[in-house]
Formats: sequence, structure tokens, C-alpha cells
Amino acid sequence: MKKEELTNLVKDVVRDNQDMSLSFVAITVLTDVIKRSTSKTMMELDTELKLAVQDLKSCVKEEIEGTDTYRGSSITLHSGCELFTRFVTRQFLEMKEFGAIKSKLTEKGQYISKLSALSREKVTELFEPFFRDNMCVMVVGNSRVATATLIRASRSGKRFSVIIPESRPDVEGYKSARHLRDAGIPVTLIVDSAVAYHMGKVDFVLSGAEAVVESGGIINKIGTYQIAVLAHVHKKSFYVAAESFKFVRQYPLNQNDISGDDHYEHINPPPYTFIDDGQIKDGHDVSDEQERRQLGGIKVSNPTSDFTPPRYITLLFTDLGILTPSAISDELIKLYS
Amino acid sequence: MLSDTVLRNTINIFITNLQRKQIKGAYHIGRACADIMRTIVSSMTKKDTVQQVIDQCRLVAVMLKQAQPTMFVIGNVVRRVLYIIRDEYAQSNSGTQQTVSADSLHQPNLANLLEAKAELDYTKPVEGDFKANILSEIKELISELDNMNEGISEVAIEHVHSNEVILTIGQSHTVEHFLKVAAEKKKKFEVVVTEHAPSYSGHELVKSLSEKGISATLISDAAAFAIMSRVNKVIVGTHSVMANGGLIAPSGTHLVALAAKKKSVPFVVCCGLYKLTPMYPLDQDSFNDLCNPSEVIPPELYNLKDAHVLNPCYDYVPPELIDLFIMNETGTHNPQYIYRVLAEYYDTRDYDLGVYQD
Repeated sequence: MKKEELTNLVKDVVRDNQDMSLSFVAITVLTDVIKRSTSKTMMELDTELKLAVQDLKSCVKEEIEGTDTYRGSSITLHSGCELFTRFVTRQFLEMKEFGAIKSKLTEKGQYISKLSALSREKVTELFEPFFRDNMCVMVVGNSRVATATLIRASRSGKRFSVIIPESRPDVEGYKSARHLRDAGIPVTLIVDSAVAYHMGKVDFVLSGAEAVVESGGIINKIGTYQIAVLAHVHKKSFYVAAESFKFVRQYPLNQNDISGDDHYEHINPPPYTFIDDGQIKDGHDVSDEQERRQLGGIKVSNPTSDFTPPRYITLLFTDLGILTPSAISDELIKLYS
Repeated sequence: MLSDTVLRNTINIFITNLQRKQIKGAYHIGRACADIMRTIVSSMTKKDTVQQVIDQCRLVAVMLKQAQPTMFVIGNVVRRVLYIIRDEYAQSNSGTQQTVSADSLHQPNLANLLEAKAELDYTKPVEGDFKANILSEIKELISELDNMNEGISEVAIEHVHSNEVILTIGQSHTVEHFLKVAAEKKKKFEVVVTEHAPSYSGHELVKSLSEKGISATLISDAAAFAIMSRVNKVIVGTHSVMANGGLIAPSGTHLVALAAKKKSVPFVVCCGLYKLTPMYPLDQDSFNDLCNPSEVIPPELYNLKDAHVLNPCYDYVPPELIDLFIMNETGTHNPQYIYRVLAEYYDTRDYDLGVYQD
């Protein structure tokens, strides 16, 4: 498939699935690549797929720039591509006839398109018994699966309140706060620097994840790490809700490991914006030429994601079940053995 | 199957005994439960489908659990039996399907994430050796329960060294058995026993140990911290092991576990595999129960005004306070490994056995 064609495909998928994780966009696009492929042999299809993965990575960076839905590191995209190519290779090994493989892979498209919603449903279902009446939950960032979990629990009649840090610099917390308020859940918005202040009255912290790494740690929106450390100090549970297609075979040890590397390249880094009276104003963009001159000689660092080590995570809720951090590597080994 | 009046009577009597707490001890309850499961399976006829058998087992489990909600072994034994049934059925079907292992068929994992999972059809009646195979496996399960303490002692004995001081809480039959086996093997060690108020089961243990010539010291529960610096190892039993590697254990265990952590003394838990429970405790209140307050306060003080007397049965001990689990069948694990053992012995679909409906 030509790159332009792929780019259009990515745009279509992104437009139709606003609330889909980027790894899922990758899986959907790659299934489509196979469907449209004219390859006659496995070798050909394999090469085509590899090429598509490359194009996908570069075009996502160019095309998704500026859309509101996708921020964070590109690791999510990698996990989707890796999971899918692994799946295709396994089909190659299991079946002998090329025609049968191709039809099986395209057939799967239907199921796969539903999988994202199915996984999220499963995660929210597993989490439900963990809510008790009058609980206070802190939610990190704007995770689709975390908000879905809270909304489901609220609909099933659990009464609890939510504290949301605004989650700078792109103030994603406002988005989740609005979302949860609309679902009738009592929400309190706090500044990121007030997390420690509020931690004492919180019952547990719920976070999403951009990616779950082999050690059982997570890569997520900047600020997750510090909240996890604070929760640990206060002896509060730190729960992560993440679908299993976010599992990646990476082993970062510290924050340096997730910056600079191609795998962790930031897509769409948000500008620095300043908030006034609880309203998002256009604010000042530090990357702005004039502003930079004013700041003269001061370096500005603006990472989008950080790595939270497994020792700060109590449990991970995935569509594979409730897992302890140490169970993650087990799942990944099963996949790649 | 349940229409069988003899079976119904057995179940009803068992339920009454559970409700009145006339049958005591996890082992006895688990054992009785396994016997009931065996009767259910053996009363299955050629016309019954696997799903029916599974449903009947689950129904009985829910009925029994209702009688004593914190007695986790009931659910656990039933889950083990259900796993045997499912596994046996998957194996008898794998002849017709491909060479997919029974395990990967029903356990969700990352590798088959993108495949639409082919659910086994449980609605067919089964023929052949199916029933006989299940019954023989249940028999094995029962003998596993009967020989549990021997299995644990065999492994645990490696953890006792010369002239060590071992602290234990109250009387756990598993720990008692193991201490006696260790003494028989000419190991020299000293035991410190907390009396475990208000049941004072520690008194019984000290008595029984001294009869066997094992040197034992009885201390009050409050002295656990004071004596901890002299202790080399804490070895305790438990009410149940939860899915996160934590414990629901007799009250007072958390306190000793904290003292052990503070003094960096290894905290070892000895228990039968049937105490492994696939549920997650949230805090001290989840899965707890209140015992009779008359154990705490003498009846003549009952007419005290405005005084509450509480006697909670259990403590939740978080996994970070536990160093080692010693179980029969599976050997020794750390708390982080419990999830693996769970996946090996239970089916995820049976984690939740359902709720009782009248």
C-alpha cells in the first residue's frame, strides 16, 4: 500500500474512532492493509506489513499532530503494531495455505474492531467490586478506561466522590472532570501541587496507562509517577486500569530510558499553558519566540510521559484479569515464547 | 442430581451444622465439602450435560457459603472440583479439536487476544470414562486434603535450623504438626507461643508441645514485639491466602507481622493449598466477621451501659509483610507468585461463584 493511501486510512480510522487507543488504531489499520493487499505469498505479505508498520509510525507523527485526541508517547502505537505482527506470524506458522491465512486474517477484522470496546467493558466489570459507598477516589489524567470504570460503578448505584488533579501542561484533568460531572459523579478539581494535601482522605488512586511494560510498571501521562509515590507513602492503593493490548516488551529502569529513544518519542507535545480562575485561557506558549526571549537563558523541559516503577503499583486491572505487577512479564513471555 | 433426597438431606444437615458452628476447622469443612461434591458428580446420569453438573456444584457452593460467608475453603474446594471437571471435559474434547492445550483454551491471555475465543460447548451430555475420571481425580483431591500436613511439614522442615527460636501465634494444627515432625527429626529449636486471646489456643499448643518434649515459652499477645528481637523466624498458619498474596488470618496476626517486619524477622506462612482464595481484600473490613463478645468480657459485666465490646475474628495482613508461603503440592512461594498458583488450580470463570437467590 502506498504511503498516501495509508495516511488517508489512518485519518479515517482516527476520525471514526475518537475514543480509541492509538494501539488500536494501529491494529485496525494493519488489518485493513491485509484486506486490501494484493500479495500472493506469505513473504510478500510479510514485507508489505513491515513497510506499513514503518509508514504508520511516521505518518501518525505527521498526521495526528494537532488533533486533540492523541497525546503522549508513541509507545502505544508500537505495542499495537508489535502485537498484530506477532499474531500474523503465528497464523503463518499454524496454517499452511496462503489463501486460508488471508481470509482468516481479514475475517478477524470484524472481531478486532469490537475488541477495544470488549476489553474496556471487561476491565470496568472487574473493577466494580472494588468500590464501596462513600469512597473517595483520585483519578490520574484523562484515561478513557479509568473514566469508563468510574461511570459504570456510579450507574450500578455506588456512591463515591472523585478528586482530579488538573494534570498539566495540557490540563487533561478538566476533560475527565467534565466527563464525570456529566455522569452525575461529585468531582473536585485540584492543582497538581495539591495532590499530597488531598492524599490523606483518598481511599485509592485510579490511573490509566499509555503502556504497561514488562516489569509491571507503567508509562503514562506526566505526573503519574509522583502521584504513585505519594500514594505509596500514604499507604493508599494505586490501581491501574489498562487493556492488555497496551502491554509492551520494554524494560525501562528510570525516566531517562523513556526519553530520547525512538520508541518513546513524544507525539504532539502540548504547549505550556497557564490557567487563570479555573478557566483554560489561550495562555502563553513558552515555545513562542517572544516568550522565549523574555525567559532568556532559562531552559524549559516539557516531558509528556513518565515511567512509574512496579513497586508503586498495587494491582493492574486488565481484560486478562486482575494482575499483580509481577504477572505482567508472565503474560508477555507467553506471547513471545 | 439434587433431586436425590439423601443428598439433599446431607446438604441440609451440613448447612445447619455450619450455621450453628457445630462443625469447626477449615480442614473438616473442606473435607465435608469435597465429599458432597463427590456425591453430586457420582449421582450424574448419562442424560446430564456438563453444564448441569457445573451449575449444580455452584448452586450447592453458594448455599453452603451462605451458611458461613467467611469460610472461604467451601468455595475453594468447589472451585478445585469445577477445575477438574472443566479440565477433564476440555481434554476429552481435544481429540476432536486441534492440539490446543486445555489451558490455553479457557484462560484468557495475550497470545490469543486477537482470536475470537472458541468457547467449549458444555451443553452436551458426556459419555465414556468422563465421570469415572472426574471421580478418581476428586478422590485424589480428598487424599491431598488428608495428607496436607505431611506435605507441608516435609518442605517446612528445611527452614528450621539448629538452636533457632521460632515464634508462632496461637494454635494452628498445620504449624503444630510441623513442629512435632521437626522435633522427631532431632532438630533442636525453641518455640515461643503467643497465647492468642481471647481464644487462648496458645495454651493448648504449649501444653501439647511440652508433652512431646519441645521447649516452649508462652507469652501474652502484647509481648510479641518485646520478644521479637530474640526470635529467628515467625511461622504461622492462616485462615486463608488471598489473590494478592495477603492473608485473612486470625486477629492478632497483623500485629505480629508488623513486629516481624520492624525487626527484619522472616515471616513464614504454612497452609494447605485449599486455603488459597481467588478474591481480593480491600481493607481490614472486607471479609471480616465478629465473634462472640462473651469471650472478651465476662457475662456478669453484660449490663454495662454504653460500652461496646468487639471481638473481630480476622485480620487482613498485606502481602508486603509476608516473606514466604509454604503449601502442600506446590511447595514454597513468595507472595508475588500467588497469582501463578491461582491460575494453575482454578478456572477464572469460577472465581465468582455467584450469589444466593431464594
